[in-house]
Amino acid sequence: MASRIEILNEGGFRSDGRRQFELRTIEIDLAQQGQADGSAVIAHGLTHVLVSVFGPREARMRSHTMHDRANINVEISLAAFSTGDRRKRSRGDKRILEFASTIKSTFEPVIQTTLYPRSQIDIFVQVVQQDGGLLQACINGTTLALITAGIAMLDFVCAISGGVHSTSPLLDLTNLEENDVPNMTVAVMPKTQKVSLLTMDTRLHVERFEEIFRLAVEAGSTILVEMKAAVLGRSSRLIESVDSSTQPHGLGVENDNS
Amino acid sequence: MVEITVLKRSRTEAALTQRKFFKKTAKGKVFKVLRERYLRDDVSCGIDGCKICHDTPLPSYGDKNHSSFPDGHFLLPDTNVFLSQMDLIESPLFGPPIILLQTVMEEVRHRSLPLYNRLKALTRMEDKKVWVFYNEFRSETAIVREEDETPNDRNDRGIRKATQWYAQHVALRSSSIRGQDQNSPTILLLTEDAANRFKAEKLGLSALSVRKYVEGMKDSPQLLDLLAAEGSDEIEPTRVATGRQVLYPEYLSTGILVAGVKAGSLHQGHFNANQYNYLEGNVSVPGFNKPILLIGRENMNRAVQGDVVVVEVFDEKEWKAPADEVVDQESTLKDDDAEESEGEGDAEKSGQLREKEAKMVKVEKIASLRSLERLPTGRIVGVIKRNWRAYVCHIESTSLTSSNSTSLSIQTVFATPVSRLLPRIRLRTRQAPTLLNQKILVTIDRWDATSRYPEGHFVRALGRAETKEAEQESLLLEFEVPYRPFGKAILDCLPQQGEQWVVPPKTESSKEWKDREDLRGLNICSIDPPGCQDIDDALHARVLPNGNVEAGVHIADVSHFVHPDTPMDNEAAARGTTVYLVDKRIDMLPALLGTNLCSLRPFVERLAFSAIWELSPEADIVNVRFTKSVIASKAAFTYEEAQIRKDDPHLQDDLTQSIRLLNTLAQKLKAKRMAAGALNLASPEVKIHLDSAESSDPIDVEQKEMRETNSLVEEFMLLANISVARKIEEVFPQTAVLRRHMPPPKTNFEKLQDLLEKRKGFKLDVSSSGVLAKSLDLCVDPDLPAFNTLVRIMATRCMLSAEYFCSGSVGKNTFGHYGLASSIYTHFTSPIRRYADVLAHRQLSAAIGYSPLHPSLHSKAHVERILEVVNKRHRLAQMASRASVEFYVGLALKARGERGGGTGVTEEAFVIRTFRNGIGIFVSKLGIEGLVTFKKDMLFDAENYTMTVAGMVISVFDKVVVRIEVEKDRNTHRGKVKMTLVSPIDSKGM
Amino acid sequence: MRPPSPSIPEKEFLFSSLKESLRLDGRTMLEMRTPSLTFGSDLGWVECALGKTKVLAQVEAKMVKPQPERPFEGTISIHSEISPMASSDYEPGRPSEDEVTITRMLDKVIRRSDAVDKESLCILAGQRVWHIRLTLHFLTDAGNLLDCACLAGIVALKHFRRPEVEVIGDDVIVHLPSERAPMPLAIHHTPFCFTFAFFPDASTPPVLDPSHLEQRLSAGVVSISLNAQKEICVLQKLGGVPLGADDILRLVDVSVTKAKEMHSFVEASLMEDWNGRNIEVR
Repeated sequence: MASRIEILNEGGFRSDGRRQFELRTIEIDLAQQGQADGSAVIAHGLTHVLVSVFGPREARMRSHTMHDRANINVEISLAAFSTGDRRKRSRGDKRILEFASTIKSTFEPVIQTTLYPRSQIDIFVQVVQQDGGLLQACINGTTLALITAGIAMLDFVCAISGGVHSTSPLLDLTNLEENDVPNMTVAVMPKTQKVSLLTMDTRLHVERFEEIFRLAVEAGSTILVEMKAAVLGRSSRLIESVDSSTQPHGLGVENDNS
Repeated sequence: MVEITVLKRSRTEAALTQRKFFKKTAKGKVFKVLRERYLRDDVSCGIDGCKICHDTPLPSYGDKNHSSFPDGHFLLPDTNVFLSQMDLIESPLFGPPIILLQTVMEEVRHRSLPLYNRLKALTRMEDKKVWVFYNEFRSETAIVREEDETPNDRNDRGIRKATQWYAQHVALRSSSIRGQDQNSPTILLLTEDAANRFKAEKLGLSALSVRKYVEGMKDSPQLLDLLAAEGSDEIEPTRVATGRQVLYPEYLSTGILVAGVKAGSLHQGHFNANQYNYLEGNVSVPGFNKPILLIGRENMNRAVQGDVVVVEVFDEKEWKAPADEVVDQESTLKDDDAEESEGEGDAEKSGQLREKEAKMVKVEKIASLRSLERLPTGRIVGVIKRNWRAYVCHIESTSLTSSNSTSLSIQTVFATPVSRLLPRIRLRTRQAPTLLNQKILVTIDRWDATSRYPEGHFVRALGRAETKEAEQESLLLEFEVPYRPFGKAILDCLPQQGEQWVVPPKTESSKEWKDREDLRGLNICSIDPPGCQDIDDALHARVLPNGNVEAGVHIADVSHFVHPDTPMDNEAAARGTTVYLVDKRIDMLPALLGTNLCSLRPFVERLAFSAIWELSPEADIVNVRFTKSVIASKAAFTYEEAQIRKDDPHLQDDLTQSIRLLNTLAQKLKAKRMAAGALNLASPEVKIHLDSAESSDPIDVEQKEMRETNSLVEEFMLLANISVARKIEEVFPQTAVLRRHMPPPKTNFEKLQDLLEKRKGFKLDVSSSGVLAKSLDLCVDPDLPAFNTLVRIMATRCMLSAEYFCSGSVGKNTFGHYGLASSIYTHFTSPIRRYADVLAHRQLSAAIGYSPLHPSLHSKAHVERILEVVNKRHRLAQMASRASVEFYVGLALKARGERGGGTGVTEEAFVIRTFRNGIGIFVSKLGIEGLVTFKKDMLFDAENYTMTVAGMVISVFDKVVVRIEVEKDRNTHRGKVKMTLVSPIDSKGM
Repeated sequence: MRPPSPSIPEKEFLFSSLKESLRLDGRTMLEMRTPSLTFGSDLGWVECALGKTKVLAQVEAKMVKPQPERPFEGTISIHSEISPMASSDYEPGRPSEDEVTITRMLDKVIRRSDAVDKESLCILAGQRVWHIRLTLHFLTDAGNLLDCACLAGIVALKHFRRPEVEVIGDDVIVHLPSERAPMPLAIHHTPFCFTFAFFPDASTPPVLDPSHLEQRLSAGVVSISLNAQKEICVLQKLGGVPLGADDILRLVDVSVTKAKEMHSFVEASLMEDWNGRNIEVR
């Protein structure tokens, strides 16, 4: 579709009123979802993703059991209504399989799997609404869900997308921008500033690449601030409720509900 | 490092920041689209001295020169002002600072991309004070469309809201300036919509119409001139597109068309577009002796140059004369939009365009009173066969949505064909930005009745415009010259020895020598232009003991190598002819044959087909015989060398004698031909000097020189062709391959006769070729030596072109060749480069009993089919050569202009046509034609072929001086020759 | 069943030698196995070998009706299936994770990077377009199947010629290759793929073009696909050992030089093969 919308206009605004290095609003909800051991709903602008984590628990299949570490299993489903054109994707879709395997291999070295031998950690990702930056939302959501599930990790994993319009780098792309500019997704581990994931499928000159890549690594820290705040907020509320439950007039709170 | 932040947006804002809508694609699929926007408080107002905003280029108090606003003011125009009054705003006299709202920018972009690009250029201009205010992103001014509100009303409300905000914002600033009690400048809403003005005034805002505003300005008289006509009226708000409008009448069904043509109520013919006026075309049909004129888009009804169409002719009282105005598609349609859904669905805009075009068409109504020029007029009701192919085009840069080279999205753009005969093509491509500045190949796919332009697809890129490779290839494609390499199957048809092939030694058993005469001993030589590699003819002459002269023409024996119905033969038939460009030759036959085995090079034995005459000293044919032979040419001369040799009295060798003998005979032959009424025609031929073989940069252009020896070769070739024609027609009366030149219909000369009579007082008698030749000789102006040549060129253009035909297909009385004044003619002498000659060779070979005739040459239908292709190829090849010369002339002009300090080249020229707004020019020295156009209509007298420019009368045949510049079209990047008058008056800026 | 993993001594030996920048096959760390290209008698038939890793690529063209949403573009499809023939690691039936990665990567490198111009494959918009079918047969897997497959695929596309067609009005004439020299595909650029393997110990330098054993024992790979014009087409690091930004940029630099070498190698091989054929005559 030829769109008449300018990606970056001369006033320095993007189509949704942001400037080059402004990220979309991030909304995080770490409330308990059903039976899951940990879950997170994360929204980057209009991209909404729900992640639930089960485990560590006994592996369903014997063959998946590993004697020295935990097995990680990732399943992704895209809601048919998440995109504009209502397309149903089968579970065997190569793109989805790749997506799942990407998330799996991103978290394998981050989760301290050796602490949970002979067990399995299941990560279920449900995509509710898409507007660009799907992979980044999935990874950020998974990080948060794993944290709420209390699974031992080496660090946060913060993902962000970036692109280049002509020569101007942009961060956190919407669907419109993703379709128009060369783009990449970078996942950073903020403590060490090391990159655990980097994908780019569109043609980009090496020199342009370096600029946006370094910028995306930088942007990881900005995401981290948001994520930390959400985790901290949840924990403090949890402590509050635990405290209040010890008061004589309060009812006992079994679960960490906020 | 830059600052990276997260924009927080609270959930409660969602109503204002999220937008959900449904979008229908061209295919009818419905998409749900969800968008959000982030509202902010740091969008700058742009006014200097503002305490709150930074980045402020607009002057503090705006403009104080307007009579109504002594305290200064800023203009805030709405969308329609830009849509209709762009010329006014672009004027350097229009100086007040403008606040351009994002809403307005987007609406303009939505309505017309070219206008939007102009608007963007405006914001970048140094001397304009324009500030773009992103009102949709500023939290105070962002609005949401309400239910039951049209997008237009929403935008108007947004504009008013922004005006209101500005007024408050400016007031706030003024009050904050301590101690000064100054009135704040006015924010003036400029709109043509009375309702909008009324609403604005209710809100306490100032609003004016453009006319009212301009009237109060300092330079109002000049600016009022620029005001577009619509400015005075109230224009209606844009209607929402309600579906696509049908722009063209539907075609009739094939059955009705065929029946109509059979019954004579409809006429069938090829559509020809008018290169001067894109709204005009014509169709030559058998039923009328003049072409049927088609005026206007609807009447041309989607026909493209070369299509076979069916026309309905109007009543005679509706017949019109062709327009005498130059109408350029690019300038008329420059603001039209490539994107389909907008431009055409929109009734108002297409109405505007139609009106504009109607104006162009209307002009000729007055002129059409003259009966002489009135032509049968009609409209196209159907298309029998499309003749669409791939066209060489340029992308128009203003039709691009985004020229960002990293952009990956599909864009709809306009591709303008190089040929002025074709309409611009709408193209959807993902590579638009990279294709800018390139020559590209585009194929037309379809042209629907609802679409103003045909739609096409990208085939491939040819390279950067103006590079020689790209220009050369585009030229070949444009004239459909098959320039691809020969396939493998053709290679297998060549002799296995390749370059090493030689005539085998003469033995009894040798296949090659069977029935061949051994003419190796004769003093045969060839005379060709310098650098000629494909020598296909050679000559000899000697005095016979009986006092008569034996003269021989020896033609390369191509039919020995090219056998009928082989892949090589088929390919050669499809190519039809070798094409000569200035710097390249596209061979009809593989180079091994053309430049080696069949080329009659000196000092090597070559197979030939010889025509040998016994001529009396008076050059009457006593006897002629044809034979296959083996020759060994003794020399290959250029025309110049041969001439020098002939003129050098010290040289008395046999070869020189032979040339002298041939020359005397040729002169006699020519005299006889002229006496019989042959025409001495002229066509502008120029020669390009190339810098060196490698760089092939043209240095200069000059006219070709004609020597005696040119004429020598020509006469003998004519003689050979005529003799062969007689022979093959005698033996194969049904299928002989002949060439004829039909006498032109008298009506073709009417205009030239009228012109000559009125302007120069000459009478042109066209009743026969002989009489014409005589009266042409009389058209001499002693003051203008080039005048006669010019008249000859113009006369040549009135004639039909010569064509190949099959003797059995037409009546014997129409065999004649008008130009040569010969009753029969064929082409025999250049089989390397013309396919018709190959056929003539085969027929002659059969006629003398050397070889049997291939069955296909016995079939009339087959010969006709082949000759149709050959005729077409021949015509296109000529056009390609001419275009190639033109391109190089352009380059040479550019080079010469640059050497001369970039002011262009001035040359003498003749006026050959007059239009209402321009004159047609012919520069004989460069052999090019051009147009001098004026911006305004001039006083034009069509009866007497004169026009008055700034008090000077210019008429046809006048000698003028023009300045020739090569300039690049900014939009399409196609180089074009631009001419302006230098004398009698300087038309620069007119 | 999973194939048995390499034995512990094998593993330790490899790790310790890599730590000293020694590779088992004697290469230096950033050295590729020399690729070899064998062209078949048909145009578009290429066998590419990277050491013992072998991939056969074959290109065919046929005319089809275009997809309704893209009437102006031809289509390209890549067919590949890793059969157990290549290595005992692969099972028939359900695609393994490696296989998904290779297929997706091939798709991105060859198809989505717009290496072949799809618009010029259009013959008659909405009616007829060329469908280019690239089939890859994985013959043996001795490590780094991906790079070998990408190379085979792109070279096959460059080697291939489609018959010439002529469109006059609505008629499409297809010319026999012998009659008119067939046309090469319009190739925008030639992407090559380079895979680097990383090992669990951070002090071990990365290796280019990992062998089978190296690949099995690696703790993550980075695949970089780029062309000689220094444009990155695909860059993929899907998890694995985290790396510093500078490490990644260094790999990009290495790939840039390798891509230039590879480009001239491919062009030279194609030219050599072309000169040995009689397809067209001037």
